[in-house]
Amino acid sequence: MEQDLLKEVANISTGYAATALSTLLQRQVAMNVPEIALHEMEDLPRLSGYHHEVCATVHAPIAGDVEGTMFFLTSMDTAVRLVNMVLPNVVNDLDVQTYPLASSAFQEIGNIVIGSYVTAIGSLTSLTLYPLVTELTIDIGSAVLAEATYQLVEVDQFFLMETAMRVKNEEEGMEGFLLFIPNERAVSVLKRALERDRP
Amino acid sequence: MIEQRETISIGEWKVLSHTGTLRTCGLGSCVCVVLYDNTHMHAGMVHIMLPDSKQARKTAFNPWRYADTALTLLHRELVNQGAGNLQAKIAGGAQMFRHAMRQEYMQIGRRNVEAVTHWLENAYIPVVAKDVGGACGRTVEFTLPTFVMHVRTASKTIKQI
Repeated sequence: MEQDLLKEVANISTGYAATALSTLLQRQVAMNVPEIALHEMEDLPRLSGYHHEVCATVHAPIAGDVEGTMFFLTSMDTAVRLVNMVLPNVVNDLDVQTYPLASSAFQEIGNIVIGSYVTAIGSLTSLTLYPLVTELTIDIGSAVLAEATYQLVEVDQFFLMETAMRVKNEEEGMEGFLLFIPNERAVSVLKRALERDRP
Repeated sequence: MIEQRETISIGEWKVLSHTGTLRTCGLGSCVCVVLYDNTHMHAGMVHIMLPDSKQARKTAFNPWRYADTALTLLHRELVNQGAGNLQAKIAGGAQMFRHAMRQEYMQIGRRNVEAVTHWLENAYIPVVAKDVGGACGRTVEFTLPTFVMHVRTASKTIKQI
């Protein structure tokens, strides 16, 4: 039941996020059906896809009526290609870490994706929520995700809402992951808000 | 003999004897502590998340997440296996985010390292090697019977400590 509700929320919000990304990149963006799963805290560093690899991650704590943590995460290869779609000068792996314009560009892509996702939840539920200061981290994926556990110290299980987005017509997969971890209270707030709107 | 390989996550622990590898990934602010006895060939690893169990707001909490309770339990576990003269190697305690973190957890990496160091001092367990602090995530492997700790960071360099 909770899972279905969250899936509905994730579906609509990711749609908004994918549209925003598509407008920014001037390319078609496809998204997978969002996956909603209940996890134990210990699972966070083990989540598949971004285990031991170095990733580019934009991380934003979410505040307001709905609190939680969001991540926009890509491989370094995808990060470089994304940046090259919005900047005139071609950049490489290292530039994303050291060249301020390149890292800002990636962070801005993350901000836009996260921002649209969060805004969509707001309009869908008539709740107020917004990302706090976002931060770009280039590091081992599992170590970055593990930091989200500090939002979850007092809970045993949490919902992870995850969607993969893909830039279409790119020969090699260009994939980004959008992760939302609502706090425990946030799940019931979302539930109440959505049920209220139903006859 | 099949070599034993054990991987642990946050708030988990494992003890090995004689030969094998203990491993943990996703080490950001968390601290990985290995206690070992190289005479009796025992070693135990724990992945600690927070400095002090007294901060736990629930009565039923996982003691392996907190430095004080985790180290007390790991120490007891190793002594029960016959370990005596314990030594320690530690890694982790980075500050992964500069801004995007709740105030109370802002310096958590440094506080974790301090809590671990403090506990080990009180227990007269020497810290033989450490790779702590900084701003980078780590992956840690500890191998028996060499008792060497390999620490990998995003820059792909592997440190042996």
